[in-house]
Amino acid sequence: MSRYKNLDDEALIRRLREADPAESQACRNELFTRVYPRVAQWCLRLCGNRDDAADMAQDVVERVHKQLDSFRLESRFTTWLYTVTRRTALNRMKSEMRHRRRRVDEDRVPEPADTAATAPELLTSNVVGERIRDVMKEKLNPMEAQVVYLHYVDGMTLPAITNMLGLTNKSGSKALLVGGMRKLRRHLGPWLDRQFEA
Amino acid sequence: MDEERMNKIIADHMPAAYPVDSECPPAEIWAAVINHDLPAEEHEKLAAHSRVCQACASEYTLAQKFLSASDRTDKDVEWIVGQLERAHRPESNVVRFPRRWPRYAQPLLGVAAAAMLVIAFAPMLPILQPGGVPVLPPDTGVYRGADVSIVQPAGELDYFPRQLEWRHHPEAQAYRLAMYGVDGEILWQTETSGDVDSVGVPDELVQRHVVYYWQVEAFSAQGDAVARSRRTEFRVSGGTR
Repeated sequence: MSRYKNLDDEALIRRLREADPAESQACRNELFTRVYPRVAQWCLRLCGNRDDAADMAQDVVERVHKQLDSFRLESRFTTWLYTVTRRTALNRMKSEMRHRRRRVDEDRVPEPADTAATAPELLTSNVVGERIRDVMKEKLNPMEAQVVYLHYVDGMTLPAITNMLGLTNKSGSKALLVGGMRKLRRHLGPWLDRQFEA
Repeated sequence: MDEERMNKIIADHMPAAYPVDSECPPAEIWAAVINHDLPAEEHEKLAAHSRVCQACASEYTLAQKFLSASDRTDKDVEWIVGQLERAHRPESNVVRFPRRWPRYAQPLLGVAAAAMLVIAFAPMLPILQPGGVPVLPPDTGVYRGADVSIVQPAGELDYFPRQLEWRHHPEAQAYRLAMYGVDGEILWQTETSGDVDSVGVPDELVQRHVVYYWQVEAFSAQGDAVARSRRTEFRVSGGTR
């Protein structure tokens, strides 16, 4: 059993920074034995299969190694770790989504958009975005809205959302996404017609 | 407007619907809220916001799942942790484990790999023992028994190694060997069966002044992983082919 087991993460990092190289390495090893399962579990929830999750976790761990010196001990270590993990993992998902470019017919629900846009497109996008936001607030139930956000804003796949939210219904997040999109179409339809068909 | 086009417009513009209002903090802040890293006043304000803002509620959930991770109990989590532990080398901080090719490339790679294996191993078929190499599983990260000891090559060499040699493991009926570059990419991999303790290194594989790592894994007749060696480093600094 590691002699550092009783130290909390922050104390361990302080020791890691102050100790001689050998002890510092031992502290680093202990820290990462705590990091690995947390990152692995979250990536597995996000990806839904262990191979993709292992690749994603590897990206995260590399980033944590590189950036550990930038952690200023102004928050809990897990707060910082989550920031690095979330950013790395979701960037990776979005990047894969862009590469795939393959439209998946999930009951005619399209893939999340590639967010690169020109200035005029951004102006239109803001107007439409505001309208979507208003309808979501008023008409969608909280779970539908969460699924819609996670899928279209964070770029998470439907199985990943089902895992992450712990949904146990038969069709998981798909039913909530389809329901949410149906409500959005119903309430935005006439307005979208005027904006985009003119 | 048809349903499909409307879906696409909504999907394309959804990122502009976030943040929901000026109260929405950066998505990463939710871990700080859950960990109580913020001043009490700020904490209360954000916690209240997460209860009324749908988008932030979803981000709160993501953070909560991360922070409430339980101990290692799931076998898939164990497997991933095993991969990470083996990829992490204390002396060099991180060596990536071999990456998989993108899923869309895998069928073609499979065909190519099969063709290369047939070409490479066809001349050896007559010398394989009856039954041949057991079907070896993908790396499980779980081994029982002692390590396999490396004989050579290891460290700085003044010759080009012609063979990879190790001490035969008593339970082993087959071995898988792999040679890696410093970035963890597999440069060469082979399998062999029976009571063997060496394999030949392909000509021209090893270059002078380049650092390589190699590793041998031992498998039982049933194809179970029983032991493996440490990933061993070597570099040729002298000698001729």
